[in-house]
Amino acid sequence: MSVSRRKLFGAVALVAPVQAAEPGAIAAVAEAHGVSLSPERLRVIERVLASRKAQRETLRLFEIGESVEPTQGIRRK
Amino acid sequence: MAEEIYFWAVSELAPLLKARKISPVEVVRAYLHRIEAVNPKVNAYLTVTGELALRQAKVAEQEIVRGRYRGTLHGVPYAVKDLIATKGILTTNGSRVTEEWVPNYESTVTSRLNQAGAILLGKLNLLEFAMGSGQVGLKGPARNPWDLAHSPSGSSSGSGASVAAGMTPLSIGTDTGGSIRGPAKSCGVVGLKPTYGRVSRYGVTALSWTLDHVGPMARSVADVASMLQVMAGADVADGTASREAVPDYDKALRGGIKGLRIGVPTEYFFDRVQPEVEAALRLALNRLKELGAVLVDVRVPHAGICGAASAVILSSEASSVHEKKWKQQAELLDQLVKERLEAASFHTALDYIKALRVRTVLMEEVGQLFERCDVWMLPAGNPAPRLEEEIVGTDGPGGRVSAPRPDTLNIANVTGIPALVLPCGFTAGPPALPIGIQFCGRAFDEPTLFRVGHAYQMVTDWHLRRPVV
Repeated sequence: MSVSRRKLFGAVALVAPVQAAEPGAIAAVAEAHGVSLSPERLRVIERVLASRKAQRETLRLFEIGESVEPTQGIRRK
Repeated sequence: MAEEIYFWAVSELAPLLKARKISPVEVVRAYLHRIEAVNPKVNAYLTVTGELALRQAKVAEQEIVRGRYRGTLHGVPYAVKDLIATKGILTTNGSRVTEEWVPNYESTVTSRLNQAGAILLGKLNLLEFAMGSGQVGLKGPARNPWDLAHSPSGSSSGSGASVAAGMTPLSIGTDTGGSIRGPAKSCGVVGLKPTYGRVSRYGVTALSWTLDHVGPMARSVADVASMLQVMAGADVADGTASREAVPDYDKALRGGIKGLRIGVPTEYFFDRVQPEVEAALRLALNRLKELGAVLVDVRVPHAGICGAASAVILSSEASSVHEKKWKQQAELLDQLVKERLEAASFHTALDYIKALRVRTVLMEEVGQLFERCDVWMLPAGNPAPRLEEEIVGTDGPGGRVSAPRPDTLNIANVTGIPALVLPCGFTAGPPALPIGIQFCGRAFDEPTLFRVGHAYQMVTDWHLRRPVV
């Protein structure tokens, strides 16, 4: 079975945001799903995951009230 | 005036043009000579539209002679960041992907400036698609006129450098996470990120629809106000351009700041500011106190989440904007552009929506902040880095990865409030590099920002200093 790159990364990001930053994790998961990634591409991906890991975790751990909706445009008071 | 014509303020130039004491042709020639002399060192311009500028200058001259004076910007030159479409003129976005693109339409901002009689000098250097690295660039990076080994900051690098070096009196930049205000700070000029929707984005290559802004840059607050007067307003071609009435920004400069409340952050925003910069900022605040302003302590409880939310929104939307290029022409993209687009692959829809909800939280907190003050002072960042220290992505020396942008800038993008940066000092050096101060305001309250900035510039001379290039 082969899946699109986006679906692959989306699944990795959702299920294992921390583990995805481990070296070799992306390559292993990609190979298991029949997705071929060049060494250069893997290098970029792994560095991106590592450098943005803290930010991703900060956002995902942030508790937000259920009633808070996205705002279109800007707010005025 | 003893100073060379290419360093005159628009507020000085315009009356002379109107009174026919100087011709637009003479002004344009002075700038073209300046560009020819200095651009090989500063690399602010990617395209110089010299012949067109002279033709437009002659037209302007004739109109003014015949009494058909259009206003403050009639006969005044300007230049524009090269991701803003100019009909029939090369618009590269600083990228090999679009290095031969000649738009068959005009952006709203340049159309308005042209209708006001302003004269286009050329297209300015930038970071690729407003998100590339600071070292590569289509024709190499722009350089800081105060020290050519330093960066002018980006992504509106050419817009900041050209104004500082006297290669144009006015420029247009764009700001998605500080890209007008960073260069303004690093180049010692004035830059405004207007309220979201104050200026039409039609014809401007998008980076992030939620965070993108277009704004003016000049050597004085008064000149920035003159430019915004022409640029601002509703636009049928851009559904996000606001119908909010455009006030008289020139009138807004007057009135003084006695009793004006300036909010000063008590936590977070000064955390990464260098001591020398903080000292200059505090001195500037004291100066404003002497003019009658009142300083008030303020805080944004969840300011620390801004960077994360901004990063997710920006990379997700940028990835959507550039999806086709990324799939089909990735080999032509800057390393940092590829990295930033790649990052979006690891965001889920839940991440993106949460980031938009965080935006609401921050808007609410900033709204409460403005119940305690009239303008909000923030640092504008540390002085310009050396060019080789600029963010380059994973191919940087030693494999350095891109660092998050300072949240002192992107809080205004995330919340959509207007933000003005102006010079407030220089580092001891060497080299002596500009230090900038930032003021944010309530939505559509650019007038109060101009009032504060202008009052400060009337009692200081940082904006009158010139680099020797």
